[in-house]
Order: sequence, then C-alpha cells, then structure tokens
Amino acid sequence: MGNFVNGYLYDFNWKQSRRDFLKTIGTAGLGALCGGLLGCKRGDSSGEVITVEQPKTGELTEGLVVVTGRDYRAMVRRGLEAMGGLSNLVHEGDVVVVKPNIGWDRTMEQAANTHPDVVAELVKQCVACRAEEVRVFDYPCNDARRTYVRSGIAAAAEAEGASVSFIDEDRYVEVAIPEGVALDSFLYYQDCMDADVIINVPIAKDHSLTKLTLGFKNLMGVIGGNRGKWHSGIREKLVDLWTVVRPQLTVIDATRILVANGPTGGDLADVKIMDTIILSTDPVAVDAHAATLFNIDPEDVYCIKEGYQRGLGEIDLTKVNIERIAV
Amino acid sequence: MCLIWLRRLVQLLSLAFFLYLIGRNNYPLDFPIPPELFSRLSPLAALTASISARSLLTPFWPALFILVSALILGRAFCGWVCPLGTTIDITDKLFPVRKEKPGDKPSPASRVKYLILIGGISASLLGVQLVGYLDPLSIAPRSYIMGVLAPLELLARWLLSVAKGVGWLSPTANPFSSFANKHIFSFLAPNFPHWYVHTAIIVGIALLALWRRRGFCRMLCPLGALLGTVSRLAPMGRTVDAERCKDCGTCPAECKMGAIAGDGVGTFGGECILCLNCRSSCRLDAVHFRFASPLTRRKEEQELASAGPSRRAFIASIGTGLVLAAPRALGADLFLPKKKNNAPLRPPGALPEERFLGACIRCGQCMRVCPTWGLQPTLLEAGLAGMFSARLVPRIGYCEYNCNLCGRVCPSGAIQELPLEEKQISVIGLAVIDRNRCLPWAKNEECLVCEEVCPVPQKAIVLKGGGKGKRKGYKRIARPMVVTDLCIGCGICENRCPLEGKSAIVVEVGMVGGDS
Repeated sequence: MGNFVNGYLYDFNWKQSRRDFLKTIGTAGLGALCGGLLGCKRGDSSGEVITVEQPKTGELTEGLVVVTGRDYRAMVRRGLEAMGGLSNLVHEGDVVVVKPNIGWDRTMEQAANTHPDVVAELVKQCVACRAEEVRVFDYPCNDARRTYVRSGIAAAAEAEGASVSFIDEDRYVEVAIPEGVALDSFLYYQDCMDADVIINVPIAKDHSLTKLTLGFKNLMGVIGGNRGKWHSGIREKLVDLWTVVRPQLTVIDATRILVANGPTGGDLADVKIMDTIILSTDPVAVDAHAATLFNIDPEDVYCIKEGYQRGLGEIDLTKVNIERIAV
Repeated sequence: MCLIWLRRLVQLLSLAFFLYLIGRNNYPLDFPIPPELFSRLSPLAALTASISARSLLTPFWPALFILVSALILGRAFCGWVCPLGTTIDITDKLFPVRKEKPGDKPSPASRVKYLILIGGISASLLGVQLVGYLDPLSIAPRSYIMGVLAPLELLARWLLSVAKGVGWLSPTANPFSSFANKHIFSFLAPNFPHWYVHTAIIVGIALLALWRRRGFCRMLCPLGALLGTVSRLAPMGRTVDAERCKDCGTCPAECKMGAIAGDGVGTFGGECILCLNCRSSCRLDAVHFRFASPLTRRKEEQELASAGPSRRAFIASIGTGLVLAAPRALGADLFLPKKKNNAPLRPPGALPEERFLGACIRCGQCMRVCPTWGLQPTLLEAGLAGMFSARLVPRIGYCEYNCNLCGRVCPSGAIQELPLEEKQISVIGLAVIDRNRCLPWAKNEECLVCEEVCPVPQKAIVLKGGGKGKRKGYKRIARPMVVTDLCIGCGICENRCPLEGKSAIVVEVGMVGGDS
C-alpha cells in the first residue's frame, strides 16, 4: 500500500495540478452559484392559495334523463339530445374535461371503470361541437399504464380525438375552499382548472367506505396530495370539493354496475348488467336515482345526503322531472 | 491503428446496447430481445448458480456462446464486449497512468482472481451463491440500475422540476420535461433508498485505477479467471516476431492488463484481453494476433505460465470457499433474521428460500422491471450471504395483481415465470393489522383504505362492526380484519395505509396458514 501511495505521489505532476486544482474549484464554485440562484428564484406560484371562479353553467334542461338500451353509444346521443343538445353546453373553442372513472386495472366486463363506449361517444360529441380540446384523464389506484390499457378507455377516447394523458405530479395548484367544512383548501389538477366545461362520467359501484361510488366520489380524480387522508371524513371532504368544482353535466354509466366487493371488483358474479345511463346537471338527483338501482335509499348514502343538505341539488326524486327513453 | 478504433466502437456499441436493454426492461416488456440478456451470458453464473440451486438452470444457455468465444478467441469478451470492462476502460482515462514494469512472471495480484473463482465454486457446492458479488455481468446491471441510472434520473427530474418553477426557464423546461417523461425517464421516479451502496461499489471499482488500469479485471474478476483458464486452449493468441522485436519496453508498459512479460515477447497465459494496444503501439510491426496451436505458442515461449494457483493455493482457496459458505449452509449466518416473520418477502414465483438464494445471481433486473419499485435489494435482511437479493418492500411498492414481469426477466429462474392465474393465487405473505395504530380500531376514525384497494376479487379484508354504539350520538366505524384464507400478501394495503410512518397493516412472511 505504501508503495502505491509513494508511486502515485511520485508520478503526480504537482505544478500542473495546482492550475488544474484552481480551475476545478472555479468551475465548481460557478456551478454552486448558479445552483443557488436557481434555488432562490422559485416562481411566484409557490405557497399561494388561489380561489377559482365557478365555471359557467350551460343551458341544458333540468331534471334527469334515464336512457335504457343495448347500444350504449346511441344511448349517450339520445340522452344528450333529450338534455337539449350538447352544443348548448360545449361551444366552439371550449376546452372540455371528460372525467371518467379509470381507477382500477380491470377489464370492461369487470365493471370497475367507466364503459369505454360511453366515454368515447361523449368525446365524439364534444369534438362535433367543435371543442378545441377534449381532455381525458384520471388518477388510477393501480399502475396507470396498465389501468389505461386494460380499461379500454384510453384507446377508445383517443380514437375519437381526445387528448388522453397521465397525471403530471407537477401540475397541481392549491385552491381555497371558502365554504369548506372539513377542508380549507385542496390541490387541484391544473388541466381541470383551466377547462371551460367538465363532464363527470362515473360508473355506478358498491363501495366499502362510502356505500356507493357515483358522481360525487368520481370527482376525486382531480385532486392531489395525500389521497389516503381524504378517506377520513370523506363525505364532508367530497362535498367541500363540489362547492368549488362543479361539473356542468354528470353522466352516470350504469350499463354495468358492481353490486358487491367494490370498488375494485374482479369477480364477474358481482357485476349486474343494467343497460342504463343517467344524465343530469343536478349531482344530487343523479346520484340519488343511481342509488335506487342498487335498491338503496339515497338518504342512506351520506355523500348524497350531505350534498343535498348543502344545497347542491335535490334528493327527493318525486320532485325531480325524470324523462325516460328506451333505445 | 484502425483496429483499435474498431475495438473501441464494438466496446461502446456493446455498452450502449447493454444500457439500452436496461432502459427497455420495464412494462410492457415488448422489446424482441430479452432485456436481461447480458446477465444470462456469464458461464460463471451459469455454473455456480446451477450448482448452488441444485438444478441445471437452462435460461443460461446464451452463456455457451461466451464460453465458445473464449475457446476460440481467448478473452476477447473481456476486451471487446464486457460492459464492466468498457466502463473501466472509460473511467481509467480519468486517472494518470501508473508506469509498470512487469517481470517474467505475472504479478501476484493477478493470481487473486483465480483464488476467488475457486473459492466461489467451492462455496456453491455447499449451496451458497457468492459469485454474484464479483461477476461483472451481475455487478454491471445492478450497479448501473441502482447506483448510476437511478440517481442520475432523480437528479435530472429535480433539475427539470426546479426549472419549471422558474418563470423565465419554464418555456424551455416544459417541453424538455414532457419529452423526458415520455421517452427517457421511468414512469415512476426510481425509488431505491440505499442507492448509494451501489454507487459506492462502481466508484470503488473505478478507483482501482489509482492502482492499475483494469484493476478489477486483473485482480478480482472470477469470470475473467474462468475465461482466462479456457483461453489457454484458444487458437487465437498474441505472438511476437522475435527477430523484429528490439526489446524497447513499449508494449509491456502499454498493456492494460500487465499481460506482457518484461522482454515484450512473452504473454502471460489467460491475462491478455485482446485489446490490441500492444499491436498498434509497436513501431516495428513485431506484434501479431493470429490463429495458431496453443501448444506451439507455449513451446516457443510466446505464451508463458498463467497466474493460475499453485497446488497449495488451489487447496487453500477451496478451503476458504467452504469456510465462508459453511455458516450459511449450516443455517448459522450471523445476520439471518431471528424471527421467522422478519424474513424477507420474496416475489411470487420465487424458489424456496435457500434455493432462491442459490439461483439468484444478484443482477438487479427484477428490481428494475417491477412497475411499483417494490422489489428492493436486501442489505442484511436475508443474512450476509443473501445480500442484494430481491425482496418486496410494500411500503415502497406493492405487487401489482395483474403483473408477472419479474418472473419473466429473471435470468436464472430464481423467480419462476408464473402465468397470471397462478401468480394471482400464489401466497407470498400475510397481512397483519396493528390494532393500536389502525384508525378505525385505535381511534374510531373512518378509513378503510386497505379494504378498498385489496385486489382479491372476494376481498381478503372484511369490515365488521360498524353501526350505532350504545352511547347516544356515537357511531361505531367498521373495522378491517384480514381474511387469512384469501390474503396473498401483495402488500397494496400496506402501501396505501394513510398513516404517516409505519403502516397499520403490514405483510409478514411466516404467518401463512395462521401459524408461524
């Protein structure tokens, strides 16, 4: 070992190395300076909580439209017609978010995600209304790549011209919830915040925590931060979210519903084919009607009850105008 | 001279291809060439892993090509193809060249790798795989994946995310970031908490250049020792036209491996890696590489005695290998987990533990392919002799229900490739709930995330006991309980438990079937 050290020192060119040493120090110092400057000049978007305006409402008919049949795409079209036509909501040049449930690495038959045909037809209609961009995304609970593929939604939506994207963790903005009961603010996904129209497209499923996951729960895909923490007091938090983020249209996919072991499912025996799609601008009424498909009283589903109590919609289905269409 | 450039080109292409394969070693695994190919090329790994796993590990059949190449071309693999060798050639350039003056015998350091080879084979006879720690085709992927590529990617991601937050930089940074996310970066940011251990290893190997060029290859590489032994039979070899040679001393000093004797004519058997530096540096055109009978080369003293061990050293190294392996073979590894339920979680398809460690060559490919970064290298969790093998750490990443990628890329079959239906019922451990931490149990606070995410179709976690309590206004939150017969130990529950720090539900080995 001694030989090696001596040899190294002996062979080393000390005159040259002093110059090199200073060069190295100089470059390193410059690098550190640049790094420091970069570190200091963080953008003005850090730490500030912003308030969002309520999105504009469209001129769609009030009440529920319940469509039944086997041709899901045609059902979506007829449903939109009955609501007054999508062009009353989506105008030329609008940026639209079609927010399906792409939560789980499951196939269409397993009814854990929204049916790809329903999503695809909505995208197609938005494109027909000359929307500038139709964004389709969600925050899956399983590996996002697998989920997007296995659900069939990414391919179906892209085929109709949607911009399908994965969540970019850098694109969340902290937004205030002035009327929040459980939350003061939340992290809102920028791609949704910038949009002119939000169309909420959940699938109707059994859920261990919230009893059912319908329209209210589906909006959770646009939040960031620690999702696990949201599960404590989830009903209050979800409704808090809805006081700020208000999709103008909810289309509940009840073509196939998951009646047990939700929200992941996996056993085809838990899937019930209902061939139904429910559309409404009223998030409470649409969820309430979907609950009846499970033979569950809407008053027993706390999200729906809480949403009604905070004035987001009507829970009593006898007071709601329901148009039924068979395709 | 142009042959040197050809050699460098082949080296760089080989390294680039090796790194590209690592890059493609991820979901959806659709590249036509198996990404773990380089790790299946080592005849040394093939031999020792087969012995220590007690079965012929057929995925190693590509290693035959390397063995045959050594039988024909000597250690050309070392000089032209080996990714670790190429890496060392590159890092060697950062250090001053030490002048060496070889004598008429190979340096004592060159002998060490043969002793390591023999010791490693002896250890494998006892079922203990130690060769993976020094086989370059295990070191290279493992160290690059965790010690080089992972920290580099984290650094790049951090720089880009800082740049995106700076007003005047973001218009440039955003497209860079999108491009990188789509084509360069992994889908999820790499997550190897002990990455620096692997950086240290490859930096340590590079630092051997302070002593000699190709220091690892000369002194430590057991694969080099194996190929060197085989190369004694090879027709391709270095010969010197003794009439032209003027004993100028250039080639012994040029030789990266110290393979040339002091007189410039003799080459130490099994040391030459055919880098051709001597040939190109000889002004008198006296050095040739040609096909000839090895017997003739030895008779003409072109090829001198190798650095292979004396009989005494041979026996000593067998003994050392056995002694090193004995504690593990007898189950007395000092660092083995004392309690069965602290044993490391192995991925579905893994062989039974001792055979798993025998077959595992510590290459790190399974850790690279795992889409959640759940497979992590052990340090001492599997005992000293189990270091760097793969275990599932659910808090970092869980085992995706519909995924079987690790079994598909394991070069040795230590993790068997299971069809999905079989994988989905393979039990690797059992979830255990800590009722003192779990929110519904400990605080009557709502949670139930574990039950929500459980992928087993019939749900391996049930919720019981919710409803109105005896006190007015008190609502009892339903509490989770694990269904022992259904839980497969995938760990998504542990991964998603919202508690800070330790999860309230953990997956343990040894609890399978309800008794330890």
